[in-house]
Amino acid sequence: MSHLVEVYAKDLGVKIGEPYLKPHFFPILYDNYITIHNDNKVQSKEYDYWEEVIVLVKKQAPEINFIQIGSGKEPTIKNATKFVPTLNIKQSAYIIKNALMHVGIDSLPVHIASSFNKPIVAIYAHTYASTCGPVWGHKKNHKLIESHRNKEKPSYSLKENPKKINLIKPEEIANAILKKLGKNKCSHKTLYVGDKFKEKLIHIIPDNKYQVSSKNVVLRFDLLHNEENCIHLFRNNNISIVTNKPLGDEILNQKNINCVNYFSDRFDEDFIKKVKNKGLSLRLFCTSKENLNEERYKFFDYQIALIEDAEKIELNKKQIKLPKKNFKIRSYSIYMKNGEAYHSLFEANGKENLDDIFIDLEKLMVYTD
Amino acid sequence: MTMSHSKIKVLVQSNYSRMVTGFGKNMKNILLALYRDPDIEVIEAANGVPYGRDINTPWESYGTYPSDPKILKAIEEEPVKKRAAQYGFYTIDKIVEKVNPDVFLGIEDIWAFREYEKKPWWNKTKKIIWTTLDSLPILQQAIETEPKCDQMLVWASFAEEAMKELGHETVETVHGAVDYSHFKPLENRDDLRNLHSLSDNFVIGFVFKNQLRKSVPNILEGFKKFKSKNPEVKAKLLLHTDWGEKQHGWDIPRYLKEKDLEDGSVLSTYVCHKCDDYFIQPYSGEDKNCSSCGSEKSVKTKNSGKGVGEKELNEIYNMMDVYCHPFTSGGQELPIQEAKAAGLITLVTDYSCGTDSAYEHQGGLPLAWNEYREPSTQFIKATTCPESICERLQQVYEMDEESKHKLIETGKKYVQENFSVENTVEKLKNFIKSVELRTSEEEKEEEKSKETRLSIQDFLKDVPLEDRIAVVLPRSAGDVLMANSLIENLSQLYPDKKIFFVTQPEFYDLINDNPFVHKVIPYSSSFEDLYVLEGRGGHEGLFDMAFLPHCMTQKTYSYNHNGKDKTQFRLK
Repeated sequence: MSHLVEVYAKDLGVKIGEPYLKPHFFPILYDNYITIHNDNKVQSKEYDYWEEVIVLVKKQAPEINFIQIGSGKEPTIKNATKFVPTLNIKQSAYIIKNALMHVGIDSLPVHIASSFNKPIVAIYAHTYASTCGPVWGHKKNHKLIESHRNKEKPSYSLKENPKKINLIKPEEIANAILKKLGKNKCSHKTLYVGDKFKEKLIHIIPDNKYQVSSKNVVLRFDLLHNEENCIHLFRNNNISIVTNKPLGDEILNQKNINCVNYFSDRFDEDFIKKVKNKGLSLRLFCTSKENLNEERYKFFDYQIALIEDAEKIELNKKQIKLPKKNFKIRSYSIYMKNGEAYHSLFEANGKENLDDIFIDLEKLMVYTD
Repeated sequence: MTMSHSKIKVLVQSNYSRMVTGFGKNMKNILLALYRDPDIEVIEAANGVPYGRDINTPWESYGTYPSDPKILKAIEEEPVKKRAAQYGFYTIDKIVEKVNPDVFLGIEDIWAFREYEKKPWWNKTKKIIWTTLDSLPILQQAIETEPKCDQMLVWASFAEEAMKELGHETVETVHGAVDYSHFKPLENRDDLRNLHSLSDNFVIGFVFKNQLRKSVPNILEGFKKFKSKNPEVKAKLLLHTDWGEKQHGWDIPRYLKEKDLEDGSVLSTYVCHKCDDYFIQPYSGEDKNCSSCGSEKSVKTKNSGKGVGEKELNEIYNMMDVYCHPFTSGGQELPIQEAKAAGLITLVTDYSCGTDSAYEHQGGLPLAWNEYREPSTQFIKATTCPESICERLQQVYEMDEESKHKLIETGKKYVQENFSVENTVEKLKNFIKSVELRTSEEEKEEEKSKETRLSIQDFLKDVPLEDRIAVVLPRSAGDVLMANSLIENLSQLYPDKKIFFVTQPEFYDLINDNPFVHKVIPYSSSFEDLYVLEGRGGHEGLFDMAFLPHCMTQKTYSYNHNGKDKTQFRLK
C-alpha cells in the first residue's frame, strides 16, 4: 500500500533516503522523559484523553516525565510534567532526540522521532496509519494505534463530529507506552466515554445554600426550584440557569447570568418577554414533539430544539451495556446536592435510578478497574 | 420537476431568516406568512448558515454554506469562490435535488445568481428571481438573467422602469416585506423628548448602518448650513448609527472636527449590551459604563451585532421632528419607511430606490443631487446637495401644522399600502401561482481564467534554465520532511541539475538543512501550472523539469486505494 512518501518517491522516480534535519540545542532539565504531542489545528486529529493516558502510565511508572512539545498554540495537557514550547521545529527535534520515546497524534514530531529511530506510540483515525505513519527507523520501534472508527472508513476530513480519534481508549495507548517501558499493563477498562466528558461544570441542585466560586456554575431549577437558596451565588459566579418554570424577578434582576435555558412543552410568553427585556441570553427547549412546530412559529426569533427525556434515555441505552456491578463513573462536572459534591446525577440521586446515568451519559466516563 | 403535490412547494433562497439584514428580515416576514398559506409549502435555503446545521425553523430548512472541509479549504484561497459559497452556489444543487421544488424563489443581489442558469435543475423548475438593482446603468448580469427566469421581480420601481426601457417588459416591482407594526406615532412623544433633554430642540434624524454609501459628510454640511442660517433654532442632528465603525464606514468624529460641529449639536444613540437601555447624547467614544444597570464598558453605539429593539427604535423616531436620508444608491432603505410609519416627514435623495419615497404623494420631500461615477464599477451614483438638505430642513421647520399633518398622514398611508408584509406577500403569492416555465437559453461561455505571471526570476538567474529542476510541495510539515528524504537521490539521478524546492516559508526549516537543495523558493499558486513551469509552444518555461508530487496527495486524493495497493518494486 502506498505511503505518502512512496507516492512522492514514485513521482520523482527515486528511492526513499534519510532526511537532513539538524536539531538545535534546547535546555531540558528532565531525564527519563517521554515527549508528548497533541494539536487542535486539525480538529479530527486532536485526542481528548491524554490526561487519562498519563494518569494510567504514571500509576505503573511514576518516575516517567511527560514533556509536552509544540509551538505553544496547542491546548495544554494539564498533567504533563511540563509544556515546553519552542521557537522552531529544530529545537523540538532536539527535545525529541533526547527523549525515551515519543507519543502523540499523527503529526511532524512522529516523523522526526522516526528519523532518530526513537520508540513511538502514535494514534490515527481520519486517515489510514499505513499511508502516513512514521517512515524511518525500525518498524519494531513503532506502535501505531488506529481507531476502529465504528467500522467506518477514514473520513479524510479536517473536522469530525464526533471525533473518531476519541474512540481509542486511554488504556490502549497507556498499555502500549508501558510495554515499551517494560512495565506491567494497567487494569483500567473503559466502557464508555461521552462527548462532553471533559466539560467542567458545577451543577447546583439548590437544596442548600452552597458556597462555590466558579465561572461554570449551572443552577438546576429543573431538578429543584428553590430560588431563595441561590441569590448569594450570583455575587461571585457566572451562572447558567436551567429551568422548566418561569423565574422570579429577584433571580432575573441578578447580574452575572450567562444564559437561561428554559425547558417546557408550552412556553410562557410573558416570561420570555421579561427575560428578553432584561437583555439576558435565552435558549428554549421544547419537551413535546407534538407542540414543537407551533412553539417554533410562535417564538420564531429563538432556535427551539426538541428535548425528550424518555427518548434520550432509550437512545443512550443503546450506546452502552452496563455491567450489573463494579462499574465506576468519572466526570469533569460536579453535582452539588445534600451538602455534598458528586461526579454524576446518578450518584447525587443516591445511585437509585440507572436512568440518571443515561440522561447524563454524554458527560460521563464509565469504566472498571 | 412536476407539480405533483397538492401544495405548491416553494424553495426560497435568501439571507437566513434570523439574520438582522434587509434580506434577512424580508425572508423572515415572507416565510412566516407563506408558512400559514394553505396552498403553499415553503422550504428555506438559508444563505450564511453551514449546510447540515439544524436551524430549528417551523418549516423544512437547509443552510447553504458548504460544510465539506475540502470545499472550505478550496474557497478559503479564492475570494471569488468564497463569495459564491456565501450565496450558496456550491450546495444549492444538493438542496434542490433533495427538495424537488415546484418553484425556486431566489431573493438576493443579482450577482448571487451568477451562473445559476448552468445549474442542472435550472431548466427543469420554475424560478422567480427577486433582486435589488440600485444603480444605473442596469447591471449586464440582470439583463442577461431576466429572460432565463420565469419572473424577475425588483425591489424598487426605478429598476423596473429601467429594465422596461431596455425591453424587459415583464419585470415587476415588489417591495421588500417589512413589518411596520412596531412603528407608529406615540402619545408620550413629549415625555420621551423631555426624558432625553430634547424638548425645546428641532431634531433631525438619520438612522443608518455606517457605510460609505450613506452620505454622512453631505448631511453634516447641510445641517451646518441650516444652523448658521437659523442661529436662534436649537437644532440637533441625531445620527443613529455605529460611530465606532471606521474601517468600512465614515469616521464621523473626524468630520465633526473638520466641519466645526463639536458643539454638542450632533447626537448619537448609545445602547447598553447588558440591560438594553439606550441613551441619546453627543458621541464620546465606545465602551462606556452604564448608568442604568451599573455594568462596566457595556455601553456602545449600535452595531451590526447589537442595536436597540424595534420598540425602542420607534421611540427614537418619535423624538425626531424630521427624518433625513441622503444616500448614493440603495436597495430599499428600510429606515425611510419606518420613519414614515412613525409619523415623520422624510427627506430622501430622489435617486435609486429613493424615488419610491421621496415625493409628496409618498409623504416625502426630494433632496437634489449631482451625478458621479463610482470609480470601480462606473455606476451612476448620487451625491446629495447640502444646499438642498438645508432648504428642505428650512421648509419643514417653517411648515404650518396643517400641511405637516397632511404630509405625515400621506406617508403613513403610503407605507401601509405599498410596503406592508401583507401587501408584499399577496403579490408574491400571485407570482408564485402564475409563473410559467420558459425554455432554456444557450449557455454562456466560461470566462477564461487570467494567466498569472510569475515573478521568481531573482531566485533562478544564477542557474541556466536547462539545469533547473523544481520540486513543488506547498504544505504540511510532515510531507516536506518526507520529500527532504528524496532530494539526495534525486540529485544523484540528475547530477548536472540544480534542485529548487518550492514550499511555503513556514516549512523552510524542514528542508533548508538539505545540502542537495540549491534554493528554497516561496510557494505561490502560480507554481501549480506545469505549462508555466516547464513551458509550451513559444513559452520556454522556467525549469527544465518540474515535479508537483502534491497533486496526488493535496490537490486530489488519488493515492489511498483503501490502503490496499501494492508495488512490484522496493522504494527503500
